[in-house]
Amino acid sequence: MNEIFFDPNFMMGEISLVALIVILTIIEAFRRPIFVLLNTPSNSTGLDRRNKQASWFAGIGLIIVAVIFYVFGKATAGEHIILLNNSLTAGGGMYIGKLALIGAAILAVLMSARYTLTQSIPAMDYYLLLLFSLLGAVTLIAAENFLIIFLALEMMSIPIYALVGLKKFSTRAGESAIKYLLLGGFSSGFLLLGISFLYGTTGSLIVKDVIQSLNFIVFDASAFLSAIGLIFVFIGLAFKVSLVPFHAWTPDVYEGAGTPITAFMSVAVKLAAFAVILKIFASIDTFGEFDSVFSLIFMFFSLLTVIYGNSVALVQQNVKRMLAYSSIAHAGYMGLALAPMHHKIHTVQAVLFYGIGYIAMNMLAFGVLVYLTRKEKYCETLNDLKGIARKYPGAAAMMAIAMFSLAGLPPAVGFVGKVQIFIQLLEGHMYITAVIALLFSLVALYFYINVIVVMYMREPETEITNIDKHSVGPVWISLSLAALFVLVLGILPSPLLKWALKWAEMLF
Amino acid sequence: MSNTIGDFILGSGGIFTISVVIILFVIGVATFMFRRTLLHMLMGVELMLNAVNLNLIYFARLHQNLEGQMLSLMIFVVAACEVAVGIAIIVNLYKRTGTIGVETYSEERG
Repeated sequence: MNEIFFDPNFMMGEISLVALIVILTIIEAFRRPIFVLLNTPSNSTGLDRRNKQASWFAGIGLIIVAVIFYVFGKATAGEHIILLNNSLTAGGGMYIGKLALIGAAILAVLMSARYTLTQSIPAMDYYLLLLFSLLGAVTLIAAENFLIIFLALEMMSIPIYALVGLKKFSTRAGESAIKYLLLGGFSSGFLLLGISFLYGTTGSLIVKDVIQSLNFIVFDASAFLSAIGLIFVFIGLAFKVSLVPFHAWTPDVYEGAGTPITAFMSVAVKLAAFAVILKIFASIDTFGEFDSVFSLIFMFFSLLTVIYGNSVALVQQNVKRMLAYSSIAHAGYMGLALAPMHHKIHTVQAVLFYGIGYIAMNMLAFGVLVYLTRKEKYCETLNDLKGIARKYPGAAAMMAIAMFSLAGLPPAVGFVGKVQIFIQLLEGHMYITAVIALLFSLVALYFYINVIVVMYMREPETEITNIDKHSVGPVWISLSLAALFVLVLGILPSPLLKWALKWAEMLF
Repeated sequence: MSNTIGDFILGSGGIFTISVVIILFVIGVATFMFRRTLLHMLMGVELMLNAVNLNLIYFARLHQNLEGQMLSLMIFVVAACEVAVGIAIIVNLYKRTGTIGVETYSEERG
């Protein structure tokens, strides 16, 4: 590992993403005057046409950016360097994580092509905010410095606050947006207080220096302040991944936001924030006598999260709300792997594998809801899904795959992820924790399977109306891509495990 | 090393600064939790961030480097962005419902 000030080869992906954002902004700035000049109608057909164009621009641009990320990431995979005066790491296996995040964004754009048409949302604003958020997430997983961690976290979150509130005509969306913004600001206050205490005791903002100069063997005022700082940093990040008791915003925000946005933020924000938690907490070699304390903290919060998420999801009638509680529970499983604090590199690998697999399966579940959305009616509750399999067998099959994977049943990626987590728990000799977590994943089977039962075996209460025919193609592409990832990674997980290990090596 | 820094932090001036920071931060948290309008909650968040700024500037002076001051400048910028988005959402909500009281916006439950 060596330090270079700047080498464009390592940053080409990010540079191309920024270039895409600039190009799309310029296109949007000049498109409206051109439309007026050419006398295109400014009513809803005009908006539809502009939305379609915007989806094409954003989709093709993002695919080009993904290719650039892949090519340059692969070319620089042999080296591991630190750029810009200890600000960002680059090279090595990092490109796997960036590709996973961009994959999530591409799936979200494919779904949004339909969603923005059926809901009449100005699409270009929407895609620009999504791309800014993606840039923040991509920077966040590479951050080496608390300043960059804070900036990237906010760059990831603030566009999502705006995205949630973008449906101006809906009070529910505005309510979700303001809740998310206020609690997000509240949590970054705690994160910053923690960072300031860590800076105060060590005199540096670079994560590695801070970790190295933490000295918990002697308990004095400075060690006390650092411990408080670490706990506050953990609280600030736990808000973002929605661990209980910092989860209060999750169900409301997931329900009120547009479905593709919910899908994107549930996976991308979670993966990126977990990468940061791992970077800070898994690279601490010793807490001295406090080693068991931090292990207990992780175990307590994560186990509480698993228990709470899975139990409350049992009684939900709204599928989006049920998926929100299930996403809380999945954050708990990912956090559980942190508890043992042994075999660290394999623990990190298990969490990252789970995070990447979670992208595919959660995108699939929300994608089916986007597919079934009608202009006048959202498809959100279990009632809306009753008997859907007879009319839309394809969508029902996709939903079934997603539910199997989320429940952790064998031919899907969720199974492999859960097995990895439980192996880590058993190797850390945390048998009781493992048994409780296993019991609650059996409880979770009920509400996942319930969705399949409702779709295949119940009669619809009213006749199922036809869905709109707008842009069904892109949604099908995203659904089949996500289903392919879920099944292929579930049957042949070893390549992804190898990549996750490469990425895990980067975080130390 | 850690001992001397610890003594220095909690020494003559340090204990005073950190007390002020913690009091400001707690006032911010209390404002966020107990005032029942959206704008007051936003102000509470701002107060928390400014308490952190004070802390960072004190520590930057203590350690004789500029990183803390850089971070506090960044916090100003990010707080301004957050307020811009937040006020836009609040104004939109006010137009639609005619109130910014928190009770109106707690209909989604459990």
